[in-house]
Formats: sequence, C-alpha cells, structure tokens
Amino acid sequence: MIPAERPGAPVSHDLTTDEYARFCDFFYQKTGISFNEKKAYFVKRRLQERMGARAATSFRDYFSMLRFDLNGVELQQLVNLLTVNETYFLREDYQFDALVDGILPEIARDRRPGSTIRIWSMPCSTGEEPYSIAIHILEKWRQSDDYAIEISGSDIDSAVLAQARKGRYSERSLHRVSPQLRRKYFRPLGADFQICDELRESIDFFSINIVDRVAMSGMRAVDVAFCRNLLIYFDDTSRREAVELLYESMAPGGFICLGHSESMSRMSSLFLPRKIAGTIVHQKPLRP
Amino acid sequence: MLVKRAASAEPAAADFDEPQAIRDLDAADPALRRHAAQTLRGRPDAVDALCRRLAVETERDVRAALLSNLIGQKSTHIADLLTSIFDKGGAALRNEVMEALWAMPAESIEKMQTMLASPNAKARLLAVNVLSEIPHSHAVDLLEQVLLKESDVNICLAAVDGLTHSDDFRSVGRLTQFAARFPHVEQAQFVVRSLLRGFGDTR
Repeated sequence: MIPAERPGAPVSHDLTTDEYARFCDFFYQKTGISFNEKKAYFVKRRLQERMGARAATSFRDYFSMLRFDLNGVELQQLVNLLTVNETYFLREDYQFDALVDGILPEIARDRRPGSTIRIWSMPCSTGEEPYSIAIHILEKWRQSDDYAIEISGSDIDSAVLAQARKGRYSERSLHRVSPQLRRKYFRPLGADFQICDELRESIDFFSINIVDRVAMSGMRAVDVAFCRNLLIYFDDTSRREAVELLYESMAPGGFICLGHSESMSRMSSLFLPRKIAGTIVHQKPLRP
Repeated sequence: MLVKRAASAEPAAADFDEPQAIRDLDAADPALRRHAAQTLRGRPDAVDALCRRLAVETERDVRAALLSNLIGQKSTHIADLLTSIFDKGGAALRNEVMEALWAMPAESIEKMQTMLASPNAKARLLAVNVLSEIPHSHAVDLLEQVLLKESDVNICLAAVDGLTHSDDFRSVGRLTQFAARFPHVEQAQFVVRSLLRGFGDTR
C-alpha cells in the first residue's frame, strides 16, 4: 500500500523502457497528451519526483496506485508537473490586435448591442492570456461597452488555475506591460503585482480536458477561442479528436487562433483559414 | 463590458442507444448524423455502418466525424472497409481514406500489400500512396517491389516519389532497374537521372 503524500526526494529507481511505455500509454489514454522518447528524461524525472513524494519503492507500486486512485488526485499532480506553463502578459499580441481590429468587429456586425460575445482562452496557464485579452479589449475595442463580453480561461492543470484566480504576478510576467497599463490594471504587492478586482472577478477559470467529450459538451457557442500551443502536445489521433470537439464548441462563424507555428490545415479541413489584420485565424463556416 | 460566464451545470453523459445511433447515421438532418458518428466512438459493432455512411456522406463536417471515429477505433477490419469504399466517391473521399489509412499504419500495411496485386490500377495507386507515408521498412520493401513489377509507369513514379522521401531507401539499383523497364518513357528516364545525380555517392 502507498502512504499519503509526504515531502520526499526523487527516488533513484530508473524506469525501464517497458515501464516508461506503460506510463505513456496510460497518460495518453487519460489526457490525450503523448510523450515520445525525446521526452523520456523530462517525464522520468517527474515520475521519480512523484514516486518520492508518495514514498513508492517501485514503479509497479506507484503505477497501481495511480491507476486505481479513484479521485484522480495523483493523476492531477502528474498533469501539473508534466505540462508546460511558461507564459507572460501580451505574448504574441499581434493576435490580440487581430481580435480587436478584425474579429470582434466582424462578430459584432451581426449581433444586437447588449448580446453576449464569448471568448475562451485555453490552455490559460496562470491567466496571463485571458487577462491580456480583457485588457486589450477594454483598451482598444471601441464597442466593448456595447456587448456583454464573457472571457473564460481553462487548463488541465489545477495548480495554475488557482494562481490565475489569485491574479498575482511577478515583474517577469509583466515585462511587456507598459507603465500606464500597470498603473491602470495592477497594484503593487510586495515585489509582485496584483491584477485589479474588476478583471479578476470578471473572468471565469475552470479545468477542462479538451479531449473529454462529456466535459466539452458544456462549452458551446464560443465566438473566439485562443488555443495556442496546445495541440502540439497531442498525437494525430488526439489532435483530430480535439479539433472535432472544438468545432462543436464554436458558434457558427466563430474563430480559432492557434500558435504561430501551428497550422489547422494540417490537422483538419473543418475550419476555413482567414487572414485578419495580418494574421491567419481559422473560422468555423457559418453553414457546414 | 466584461461579464463573468455563468457556471453551467456539470454535463452528464447521456443514455446511449446504439441501434438508434446507427439508424441516425442515415438521418436527414446532418447535425443528427454527425452526432451519431460522434456517439458511436469506441463501438466496433458500428464500424460497418460508419464506413457505409462515409461512402455516401456529402457533408464535410459529418465526414470528419465519421473519419475521426474510424481512426480512433483503428483495426484491420476498418482498413479493409476503407479500401473497399475508396473509389465510391470523389477525390475528397479518396484523400480521406488515404489519411485514415496513414493513421493506422500497422493495420493498413498488410492490406496494402494485397492491393498492390489488384487488377484495379486505382487500388494499386492508393496502396502506393498509403505505403509512401508509412514509416516502416516493410513499406519500403513493398514500394521497391513496385518498381520491379508494376506495369503502369505512373504508379511506379508514385512509388519513386514515396521512396525518395523515405529515410530507409538505400537502393539506387532499384531506380536503375525501374528506368531500364521503361526505356522509352522520357519522364521515367528524366526522374531517375535527376535522382541519381542528386544522390551522388551517398546511397
């Protein structure tokens, strides 16, 4: 039996190729995220860290505990360790320019004032992206007061979501934010910065696995989805599945923004490429 | 004005009626057909119906859901079914079948070997195109055999194209044998000459 978590050094047990493959299969089945041999060192180190924390003396013991952990707490710990969360405010903001200069005006053209526009940021990590979207809209979209703009952020990693809800950031996260915007939307908190309550309280953060069909059925009528550098973690089959589910989540005519190195046309023909304000975005057709 | 998204009720998995879902694959409403294709995921008993529908389906998003389902369930039976419908529609269906077969290389390779002996040139070309994207040394062997045995020069040229993109292709001799089989086809001579010049002494 594996005891409850306690602080522990990484165990020195070196995973065999077979153990590594079994773990990768299991993790893929649960999350859709696949790791290849190149990631073996990264994954094994983190597995050893978790084995140490749970005082597991062998991979077999730890893996049994992981598989039969009914509340999924240990799996969530692994997800938190194995996903990359590096981000900062206004990262790749040319897409936010496209949002306010082209995408939102196009959506608003066919909407009555007062109606809802839904924007979804995934994976949102510690919240910099959805907060950046909110700031960009408030600062640069003249019609922002005419519509009810819902911004959501989601991630599979529960720890980063807790940080996003807290809204406290280091100088490093804000290095691209001007002094004027810092004064307007943040207040100093020791060496860090606290996002203002108006923004913090208006963004909904929630956990979701985008290849979970049942969970994704709760996301509908999304007008704009920022899905940057997420699908690169999936293999072809999971990526196809994720794109299918995103398609279902989007409103007809809704837009998806991918990372600069990603291309929807290599994954699916369901979305139409559009060049808006100098950047390529992917639109769900108004009619299939 | 920013507004917070209202928390939605926790979505629950709906009750599932497999026979009804299979019937819905032929419903008049494309949304219902797409939904049926999605809900039949992981249901091996449904794959025949899914493939039958794929052969006649005209809506792009329904086809995408059908393909995702079939690719997710990958099996040799599905590879068989896909190869049996590949020429029942237009270029879109052919490309989608190819894409699906690429996604299940282990399940496809044996079937492709059989198809290379088909009297139907379209079937042989499909096999060559599928094998060209399968990163397996047996696929390379089969493509090399095409250069030695295939009577249609265009299918041979497709095999040459596949082989030259493969890291496992090492046999310059196969190229020269292919060129010798078609001495009067200028395109074959040109392609082989260009490739040999490009390879230099590296292969």
